[in-house]
Amino acid sequence: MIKQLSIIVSILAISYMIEIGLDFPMPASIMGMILLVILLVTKIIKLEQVENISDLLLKDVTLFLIPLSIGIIEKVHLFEGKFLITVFILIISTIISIFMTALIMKLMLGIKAGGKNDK
Amino acid sequence: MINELVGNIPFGVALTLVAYEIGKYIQSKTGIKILSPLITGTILVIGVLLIFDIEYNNYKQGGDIISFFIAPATVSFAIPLYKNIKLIKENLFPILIGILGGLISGLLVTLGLCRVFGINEIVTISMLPKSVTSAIGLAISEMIGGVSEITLVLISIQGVTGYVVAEIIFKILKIDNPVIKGIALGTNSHVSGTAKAMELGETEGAMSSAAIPIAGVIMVFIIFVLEKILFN
Repeated sequence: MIKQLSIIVSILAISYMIEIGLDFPMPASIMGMILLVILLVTKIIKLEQVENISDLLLKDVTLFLIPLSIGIIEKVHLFEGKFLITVFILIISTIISIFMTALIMKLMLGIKAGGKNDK
Repeated sequence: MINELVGNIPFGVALTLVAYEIGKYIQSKTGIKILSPLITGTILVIGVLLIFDIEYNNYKQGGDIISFFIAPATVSFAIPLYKNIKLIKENLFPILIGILGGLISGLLVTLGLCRVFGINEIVTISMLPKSVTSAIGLAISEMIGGVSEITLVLISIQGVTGYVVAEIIFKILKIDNPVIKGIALGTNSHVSGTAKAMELGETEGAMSSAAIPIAGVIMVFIIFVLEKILFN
């Protein structure tokens, strides 16, 4: 497990070097994710070499977020009393974005199938 | 006195772990999926800090150790993407355009409504990465000068919203393709959306978890372009 963790964290460390060294406009953790996909696709790293640690980290990813979300008590004043309106905006935009993703894909897959897969 | 006793790393780590486990226990006992241990755990920790009058900075020493794992977890999102790469390749173009369309429409609605309701700039900026999963959204929020704590809370609310409304939207649009359901959920409601997708079926769940990292990367590019247009 430590060996698997060392691979993930090393990829991350390299990503930070790229982000800071090259002033690359992408967060290091996301760059690390892309890097790992590339390493897996090119078979430089095998799935088994990182699978267990990834499952573990992703299974409890919400745990790692608790300390940061505690920090909201120090930032809640930034809403200037408009927290509920902000949540309202959020709900409307979520509904529209799910609707749009589903609609666009439905239309595109419909065209692609050309009627032959039509149910 | 109490702040001297708890001003050490193990205290914050222990409090977080215990609160998380209690949160998970509550979630499984009540059977309410949207009652994420992130929500209950956060409330529990805040409760303890307030009741015992513990300074936030004393908790934070240990909290930071836990927060470290956000970045390795983000890198790990490569695995669900890699595992489903075949199914994604088969539908690559519709998936990419669908994700792009969902994210952009969400962003435009958010920006428009924030302006209409006079939401201040710092909250608006923190709100922009709200569609993508917390770990990725946080990184984007930091990149564009948002407040990561606000982004995090809004991301959680967006996840719960998607969990609740997605099935209704699928019914209205008469969608029965599991790939579409999975991508729509993962793109717009990340981990909570994936929980719903897994309830709907195996393909839905797999597509949803694969959509999370793809949506995250696409969001980085959209925000990068948007920032150039809006703030330059």
